[in-house]
This record gives sequence, structure tokens and C-alpha cells, in this order.
Amino acid sequence: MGLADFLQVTLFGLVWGGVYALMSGGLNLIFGVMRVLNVAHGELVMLGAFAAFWLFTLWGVNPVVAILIAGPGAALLGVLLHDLVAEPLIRTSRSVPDLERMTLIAFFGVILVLRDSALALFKPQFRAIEYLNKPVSLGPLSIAPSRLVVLGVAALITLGMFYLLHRTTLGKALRAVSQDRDAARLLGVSVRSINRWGFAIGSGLAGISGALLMMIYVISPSMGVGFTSKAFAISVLGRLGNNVGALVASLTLGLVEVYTSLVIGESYRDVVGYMLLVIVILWRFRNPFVRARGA
Amino acid sequence: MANVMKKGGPWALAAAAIILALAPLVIGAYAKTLIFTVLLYVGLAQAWNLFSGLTGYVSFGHVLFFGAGAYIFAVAQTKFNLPWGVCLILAPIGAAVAAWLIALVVLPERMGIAYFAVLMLGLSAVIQNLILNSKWLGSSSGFTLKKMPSQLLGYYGMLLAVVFATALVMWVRQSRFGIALRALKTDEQAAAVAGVNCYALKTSTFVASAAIVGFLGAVVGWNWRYIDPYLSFDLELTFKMVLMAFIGGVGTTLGPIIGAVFLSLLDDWLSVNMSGGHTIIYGALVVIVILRMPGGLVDAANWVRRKRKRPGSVPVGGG
Repeated sequence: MGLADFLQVTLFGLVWGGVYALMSGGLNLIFGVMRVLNVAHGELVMLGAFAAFWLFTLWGVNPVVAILIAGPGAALLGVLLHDLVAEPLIRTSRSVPDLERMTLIAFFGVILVLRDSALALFKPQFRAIEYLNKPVSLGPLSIAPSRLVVLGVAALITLGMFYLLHRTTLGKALRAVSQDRDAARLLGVSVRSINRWGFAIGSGLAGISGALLMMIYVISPSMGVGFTSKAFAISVLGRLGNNVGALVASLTLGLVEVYTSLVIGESYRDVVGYMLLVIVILWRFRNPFVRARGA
Repeated sequence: MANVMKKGGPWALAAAAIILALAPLVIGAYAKTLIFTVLLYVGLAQAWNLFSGLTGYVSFGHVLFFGAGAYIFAVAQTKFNLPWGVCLILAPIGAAVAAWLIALVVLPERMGIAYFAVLMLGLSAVIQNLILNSKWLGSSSGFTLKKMPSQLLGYYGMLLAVVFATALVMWVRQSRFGIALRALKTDEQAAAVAGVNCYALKTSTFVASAAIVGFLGAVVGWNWRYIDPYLSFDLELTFKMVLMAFIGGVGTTLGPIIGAVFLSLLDDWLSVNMSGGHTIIYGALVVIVILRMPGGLVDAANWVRRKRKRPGSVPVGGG
């Protein structure tokens, strides 16, 4: 294995890292704001991927343009999930563990509804598109332009998210609620509407990441659970609610995955995400030096 | 229904066990297969309930123990040529040891419920993948097992597991452990301060639950006469345990039974009248149950009764 191979694979890893950053960024935002783990997050990724897939296959819509439909579409679905599932549970739950349990099971039900609707409509087979996948040379590297498009779009949206969270009133309110919801409420933030915004933006990011990964990977209706696990692993690794940490963790997972498939073998690629998940959760909870606070 | 269970529970269980034990003598093949399936799901849902229902730690990876039981049975039978009785004993022991090892690492402290659920999901996926990549464990082609001496053996094995799991949940709930578990489920820190040994409670219910699921895995694998990583570590099986327990009434004795019977009969009916997409209905059902009657179907019966007795009383979730 030469240096060129290594650089090539590293570039692939960064592309995946960009996709994971959006995916886990969305999950992180929802968890940060509402303290609710949306286990159906991966299903929104799947729906975003299929939206872009069908737009491209049936009407020839450019996948980058399809993001403009997949993102807001997923965001709308997120608002619906917030209003119909998350919000009522927050209102009626009696304690924190009670809320954690109820939301977990309710969103687990949502997984089944979304995934199996997709299975019934799209059938279980794997699909992929042919879009800008003829490799071009980039010095010693050769890469499909679609991957560069994905990396570029992911980087742009990540930057946009940083701007949104740190420079706008909405972003500041979102961060205020994730830091201390009671204090935020006292300062006049409408926690309920911020919850809805958090859910909308988080779900929108899931839809966009799905549309992006559709350009470079095969998709199927049952892909959601795996991506939820990866996004969750990244969030835990990067400390839930911490944006820079999540970005670093996303790139780490992207790189670890590609190096694993290069060194050990392609069949171990998917298990890396799960292994990381197990390891980081244990590390967070069983490491005496890193005490999880109120998790 | 809770009062009925308290007084007549053991008797009802014994009566049901005797009827089910005698049933194979009179019923036809279709009914026997149906009851076998229903019993499997009752056993799985009840075993899941024993740990997750009573402690509140939702496990999304219980299929791990099902697969472990099936694989231990298969390896003991095909690689070591052990008699089936020994294989059937080794399976639950192996699953229990696996659970104990997990408990040693995972359960000592309070963990967020979401973290625990996803951790278990990850563990079952990792183990499935390790087996897929292991030549010695048959990789993706799995094992073909020896024939059962009699099909009735599987049936009675299943019945035994169901009765055992139900009796265990029934006993634990009315003993002082039941009170301690209720405290643990409501507020683990407060329970620990009050002198409840949370770690021991969590570990013992977890290990017992895993042993039952492991035994069921062995019986089912043997009955199919074929196992592979996809069948034995099928995520859908975990999902079904969760669904059945929650739709029936999580944390109660009767709930998982009602949930499992209801869903497996619904499944049987839907597979005749509808092609695919059943789980859409189950998913919607569990969302509605969580939102509208968090105590499950069991609590709906209680709710109606309470309303009739004391008009205007407020229903509280299943206990």
C-alpha cells in the first residue's frame, strides 16, 4: 500500500465523515434541546435518500437540487413527529426515566411505521444511482466527482449550522435551551417552540445527509437502524450537545471505517460503527475519570 | 385484573399449563403449530419483561441471548456430539454467563435508558457480525441440526419455559424484590439510598431473563433443524419482544402474555388477509398505546373497571 492509496482512502473517509457530521449533528441537536433520543432518526435519513433517489431516477432532478426537497420534507416530518409524539409525551411523563422510556418506545414504533411503509412501497432491494461517478485524477489521487460534491455540500451545510447556532437569535435560543431549559424559560424563550425548531432542523439534517449518501452508496428501506447507531455513537463520542466534538467524532468514524475495510476487509466495515458504539458508551459510563452528568 | 392475579394467579397459571400440556393430544397440526408459535412469543415477551419490564431498562438487544442459546446448542450437538439433554442445559447456562459478563461491565451504575437500549442493540449486531466472519461457527451458512426425537419435545420445552418465566415474574412481583424493583424503576438513586441493592437486582433479573431466552433459542433452533446468524440474531425478534410487552402492558405478569397472544394471532390473521406491511400496524399500535394508555391492554381492562367502580377517578399507569 503506497502513500497515494492511503491518501485516496483518507479522502473517502473524509467524505463519509462529512455525511456523518450532518446525520449526527441532527441527532445531537434534538437530543441537546429536548433530552429525547430519536431512534427513528435513521429512518428520516432513509426517507431523504429515497426522496432524492426517486427525484433523480424518475424526473432526472439533480441530486444537489434534490437536497432542497429532501431536507425541508424531512424537517416537516420532524415537526409532525414532534407535535404528535414527542410533545405529548413530554407533557404527560412523570419522571426523567419515564420520559426516556416512553419516547424510546414511541419512536421505536415510528421506526416500524416508516421503515415498513418504505419496504412495502420500494421493496427491500438495494439501489444506487449513476451520477458523476467516472473518476477524475487529482494529482496522484483519482476520485469520483460525486464524492467531491458530497464533501463540498456537507462542509457548506456544517459551516451554515455553526453560523446558525452561534450567530442567530434562533441558534442562541436553541443552545440556551440545551444548556438549561429552566433558565432559558425564565429569560423568555418559548421552550415549546424551540423544541419544535430543534426537531425540524435536526430532522432536516437527517434528510439532507440521506440525499447526500444516496449519491455515493447503496440505499435500502432497512438501512435506518445502522445509521441511527452510527449517529448515536458519534454523538456519545463527541459528547452529546457538543458541536465541535461531534464534528471531530464524525470524521473519526468516517476514517476508521475506511481504514478498517482497507486493512481488515470490507465485511468488517459495518460492524465498526457498532463496535465504536459499544466501546464509547462503556467508556463514557465505566470510565471513573469521565463522569457522565445526568445522562 | 391485578387483584385477580394476586389471589388466583398461581392457580390460573397451573390450570393454563395443564390445559396446554394436554392440548397436543386432541388438537390438529395447524393448531399445534400456531400454539407453538404463540408460546414462543409469550416466552420471549415474558422473559424480556422479567428484566426490562421490572427494572425499566429497555433492552434492544435481547435477541443476542436467543442467538447465543441457539449457537451453543448447535455447537454442542454438531461439534461435540453431546446428547440433546446436555445441549439443552448448556444453552441457558451459556446465555446466562454471557448476560452475567455484560452485567459486570454495564450494570453497576445507573445508565441512561436510551444508552442502555442502544448499547444492547450494538452488542447484538457485533456478535452477529463476529459469527458471520467466523469459519468455525459456520460463518453465514450456519449449522444443520439433528432431528428432534419427537416434535412434542419442542412443544413441552417451550411450555416449560413459558410457565417458568411467568411464574418467576409472578413470584418476583409479589415478593419484597418486587417492591425494591418498583423503587429502582421509579428512581434508581433514591432506591439505592434507601438500601436497595440495585446492582444485584438488575444483574439477577438480567441473567434469569437471558437464560430463558437462551433456552428458547435452543428449542427453536432445534425445531427448525437449521440456524444461521441471520435467523438467530434477527433484530425483528427483539423488536417483537418489545412490542408485545408494551402493547400488552409492560412490568405486569399478564401484560406480555396478552400482548404476545394478541400480536401473534393478529400476525397469523394478517398473513392470510394481507400481503406484507404488518409491522406498519404494530408500529402504529405501539405509538398509540404509549400515547393513549401507557399501561397497555391490561391497564385498559383495569381502566374500564375502575371507571365503573369509582366514576371520575384518574387512571394511573400499570404497576
